[in-house]
Amino acid sequence: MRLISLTVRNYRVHKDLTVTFDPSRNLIGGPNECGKSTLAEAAHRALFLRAKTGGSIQKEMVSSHIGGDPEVALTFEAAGITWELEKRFAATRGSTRLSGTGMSTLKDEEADAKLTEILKTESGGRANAGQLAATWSHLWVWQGSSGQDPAHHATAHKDTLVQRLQKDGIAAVMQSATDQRVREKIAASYDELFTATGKPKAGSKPELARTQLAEAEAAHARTQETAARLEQAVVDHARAEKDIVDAEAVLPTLKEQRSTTEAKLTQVSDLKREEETRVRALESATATCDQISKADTKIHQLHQQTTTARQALQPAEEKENTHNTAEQSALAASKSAETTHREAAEAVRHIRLHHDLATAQVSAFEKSDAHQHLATRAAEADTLRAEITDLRAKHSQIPPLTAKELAQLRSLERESSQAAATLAAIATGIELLQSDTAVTLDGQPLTTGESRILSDTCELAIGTGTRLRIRPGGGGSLASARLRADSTQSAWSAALARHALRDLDHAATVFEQRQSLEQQITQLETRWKALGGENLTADLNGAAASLAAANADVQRRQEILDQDPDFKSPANLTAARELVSTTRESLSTAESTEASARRSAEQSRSKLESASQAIQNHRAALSTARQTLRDLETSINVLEDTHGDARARQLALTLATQTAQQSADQLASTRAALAALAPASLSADLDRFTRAITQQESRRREAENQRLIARDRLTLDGSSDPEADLSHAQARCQAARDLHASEQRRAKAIEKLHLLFSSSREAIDRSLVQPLADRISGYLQCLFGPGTEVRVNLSDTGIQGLDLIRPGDPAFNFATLSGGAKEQVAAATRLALAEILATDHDGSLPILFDDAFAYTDPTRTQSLQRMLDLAATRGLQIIVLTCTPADYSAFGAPEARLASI
Amino acid sequence: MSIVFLHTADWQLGKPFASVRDDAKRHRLQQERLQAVQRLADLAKSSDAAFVLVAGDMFDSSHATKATVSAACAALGALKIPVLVIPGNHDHAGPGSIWAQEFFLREQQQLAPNLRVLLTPEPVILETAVIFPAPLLRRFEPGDPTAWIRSAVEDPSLPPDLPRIVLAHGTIQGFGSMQEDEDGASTVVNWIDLASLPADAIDFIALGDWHGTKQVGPKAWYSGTPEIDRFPKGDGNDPGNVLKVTLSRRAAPVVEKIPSSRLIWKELSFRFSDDASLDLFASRLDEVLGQRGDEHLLLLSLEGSLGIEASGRLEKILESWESRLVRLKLDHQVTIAPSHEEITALTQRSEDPLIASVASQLVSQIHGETEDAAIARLALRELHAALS
Repeated sequence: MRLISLTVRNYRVHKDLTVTFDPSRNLIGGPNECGKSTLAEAAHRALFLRAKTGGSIQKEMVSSHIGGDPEVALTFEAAGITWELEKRFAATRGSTRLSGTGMSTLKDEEADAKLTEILKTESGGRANAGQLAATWSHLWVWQGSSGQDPAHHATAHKDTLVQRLQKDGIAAVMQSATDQRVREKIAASYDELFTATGKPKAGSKPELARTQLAEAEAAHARTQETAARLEQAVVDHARAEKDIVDAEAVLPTLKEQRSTTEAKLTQVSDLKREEETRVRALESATATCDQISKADTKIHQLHQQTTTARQALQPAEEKENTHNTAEQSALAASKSAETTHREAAEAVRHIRLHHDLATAQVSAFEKSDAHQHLATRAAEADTLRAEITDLRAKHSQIPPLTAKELAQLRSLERESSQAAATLAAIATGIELLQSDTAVTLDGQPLTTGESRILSDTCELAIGTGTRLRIRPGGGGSLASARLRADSTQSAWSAALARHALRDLDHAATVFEQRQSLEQQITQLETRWKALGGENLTADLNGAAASLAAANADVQRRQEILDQDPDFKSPANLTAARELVSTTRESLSTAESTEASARRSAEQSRSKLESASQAIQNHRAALSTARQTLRDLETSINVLEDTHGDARARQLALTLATQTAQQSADQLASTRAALAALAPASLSADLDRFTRAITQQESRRREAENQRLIARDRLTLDGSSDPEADLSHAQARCQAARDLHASEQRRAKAIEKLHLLFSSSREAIDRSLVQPLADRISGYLQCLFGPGTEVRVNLSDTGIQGLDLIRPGDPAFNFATLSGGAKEQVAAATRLALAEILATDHDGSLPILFDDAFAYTDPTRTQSLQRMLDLAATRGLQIIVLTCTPADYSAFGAPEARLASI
Repeated sequence: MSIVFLHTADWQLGKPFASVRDDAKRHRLQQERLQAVQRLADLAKSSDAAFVLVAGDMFDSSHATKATVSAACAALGALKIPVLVIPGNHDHAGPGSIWAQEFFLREQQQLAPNLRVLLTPEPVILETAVIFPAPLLRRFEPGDPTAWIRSAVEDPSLPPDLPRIVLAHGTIQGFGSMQEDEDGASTVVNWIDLASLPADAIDFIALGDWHGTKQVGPKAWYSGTPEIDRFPKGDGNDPGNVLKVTLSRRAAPVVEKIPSSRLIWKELSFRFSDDASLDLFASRLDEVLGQRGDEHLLLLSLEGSLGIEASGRLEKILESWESRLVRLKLDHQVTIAPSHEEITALTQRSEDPLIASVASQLVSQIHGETEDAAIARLALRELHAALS
């Protein structure tokens, strides 16, 4: 397909413009805003936009200054026919006309349908606004879109590309719809089984099977455990039974051994008791022997003692007479001494009577003298008493006045005198010397020359008209002085009167008299008291009484001695005293004699007592000896009563000795029997057997307990059969294992398929895009030199991008290229695509670049022209719209130049 | 005078059949064992049997559940005639076993007063026979549980004219000492020294443990299990019977084998040579199982190789049979690999280059027995499925 000419009318800036196209190379130049792009748009819309399109799209086409409906007429060549296409874009009024060489003209819908067929696009001639931009966008490089990634163009035309490549005999294949469906089905299966990262998916069948397997294995383990417990219980039970059997096998023997030992121990016990009995019997027999021997010995001893005692008794009886004689002589001596002593004592008594009388007489004389002396003093005292009484009488006649009272009197007298003096000093004297008028003082007329002492306030009236108040001493002191003088005077007088005194001198005299009398009385009384005073009478009476008593004593003693002619009463005290002295000496001598006699008597008495004692002792000893003899005889009798006579005793002793010997023999035999039983080890044996029995019984008990426990464990409640449970668990486990293996295997199969689909699809896609890449590379080599390549990147959805690979450089992704390189690579891709697609369009397709190399530098533009020329050479119709046509001078294209408007 | 009694064993009531996934089917298998016991009632009546001997393993476990115990007692009670049972290795009378449990004893008393559990190795004198039981008091009896009978049977105080029957559970010489049951678990069974039992003094030896009916001596028989519980184990194995024994003192026993199993356990092996053999296989199944198969259990071993599409069909066939059969035990060794046509169809698609490329790469990996090859084959199947 090739454009031949384009005419636009009333279209934006163009009123009516026609451009004709070269079949291969076209250069349309003109400054900016001259309508180059409008031409590109007009051609595109003629081919693809529905004529009746309205709205803003249509309105923008309408020229503002020209008016009229925009019209585009396009002549092009396709399928060997030249077509005339006319479109009037007038919204609802829009129209389409299409006529081919030798064909009737088609209008509107028919024309659009025909266009679709000719252009081999879905929306040829009748695209709506939305579809417009995408249609033939790989061939119409709009201004500003030249640098866009061209990969999507390749994807969009992939099917066509493949078909074209295949028709060209190039080995390109493409997955079919069935491929796609099956691949997706497998992918879906894979997604059910695996996560995005290729891990098994939770909840997927293999995972569920895995869980079920784990559960089944756990359940199996539990049932196995139960079964194992039962097995163990069986083993325990068997072991317990064996233990019981073993224990029961040894127990009877042990018990028998214990019984035997116990019996022996009983025997030992019996023998020990017997031994004790035998020992006691032996002791008893021995004791009997001893007893008999001792009794015999005792009887012998007693007989000897009796003989001895009897022999000893005789001299003692003889000695008794000697004792009697001694006692008699002592008695006589004693009696004599007693008599001597009695006589000496009598002498002493007699002399003492004399002596006592003499002493009494001395006392009587002395008492008489004392009485005489006291009587003298009493008379003297009586005289003094009389004098005192006389003085006291005188004293009582003088007024009583003490020193204190005298002082009071003096004081009262002094106070009275002082008060009188004070009063006299205060009083005012008034004297009427002369008056011609009556003068009254306190109403009493005062006569001329009359003088008065005023000791009190008084009113002095002179005449009738003059009255004077006179206050002597100023104020009330005069009155008080008077009052005081009066009171002291009266006190003084009263005191005198009370003491019956005349005045103070009288008082002093009286006082002195009283004092003198009192002194005399005191002196007399002191003398009286020295004579004995109050006690004198009593003393005198006492002396009289003592005298009387002494005389009475003398009298009594004299009467006792009346019979004694030797006694002569002394005449006086001296004689009496001499007599006392004489008698005292006699008494002393007599007493000495008496004492000597008394001692002698005492000695005699002592001797007598000693003799008496000796005889008593002797008698007692004799009696004792006799008693002893009797006792011995009694003992002999008693013993002989018990033990018989000597013959009997001898017999008994023989018998007892034999018994003792027998007992000793029996004891020895018992002890031998006891020793034979080895009692020391028996006890240990019993312990040992008892211990062994206890151990065995404990073992049996324990085993019985174990057996009970095992049996209890083995006794089930019948709700389930553990063996059956185990079988079921095993079967379920196996089933789960099988299922798990099967699911795992299927998952692996799906995974394998999925991987194979992915890898195979990529290989196919690569084989598809390689021819395209080769063509792009061919174009780019015009720009970048030999060795330059393009790699087409593939994804699930198609071509994802392009990499530019230049010798010596790393691969650059399209997006990373510079603006100029982007334009160039995109142009190369479009050219390669168009070249392949052109096959369906008589080997040619127009490809339009509207200022598509704005970033390309002038140097590169030269190379660019080589690339464009190559495309033209390969049959494409290249249309370059540029505002710098000079840059494309080497392109060798006819140039149409639009003038600026 | 001769007597008639029934000899049976290995009822294994309450057997879990754990590998059967479907609850209803598992229940069905368990119920069939019980019904086999219930059916014994008619046989007991028709044969005028004096008693029934159960030679061990009446229960599958010595810890059978209450439900199993009650159902068993009810079925036993319905037999009316005396039933003498010894514990076997499965339901041994060890500590805590079902036989001593209060619940069992109560149910026995109330539902099955005719049941007599012989737990003591001592002669049991019946009106018509003397029984010498060899109960297993633990799962693994170390000695010969019948050893005591060797001398006991000579006891002169025993009634001389009554037939003497040994009732025992365990293995004898000539069998392996290991067996494998349907669930694959190994069971060591107890050893009975048959030769040491005084043959002249004994009139019949009723054995249990071996699930096939088998005569193992002139007077010694394994009755086998009355209801088959495992897939066939070779030609000599003949399970699913009850023995009716007619016996007199000092006379050879007359033993009649009476089939009693309802469920049919079958085995089929098939090798796929090509996809066309799938039709052959389908018709073989129909031959073997009929159309319904609801009383059948099948052990199916498949080998060979099938194309993707054919293996899909195979899956459907198997799905149907798994559903119809009481049990389908499958040994699936079939390699599922695309056929030549399928490979061509997947790889030669010029219109779908992507699929063709992927398929071609997978095809290059599917050969061999490695896990990667298996995954590649599976991936091809997925691709095939995604295309359809």
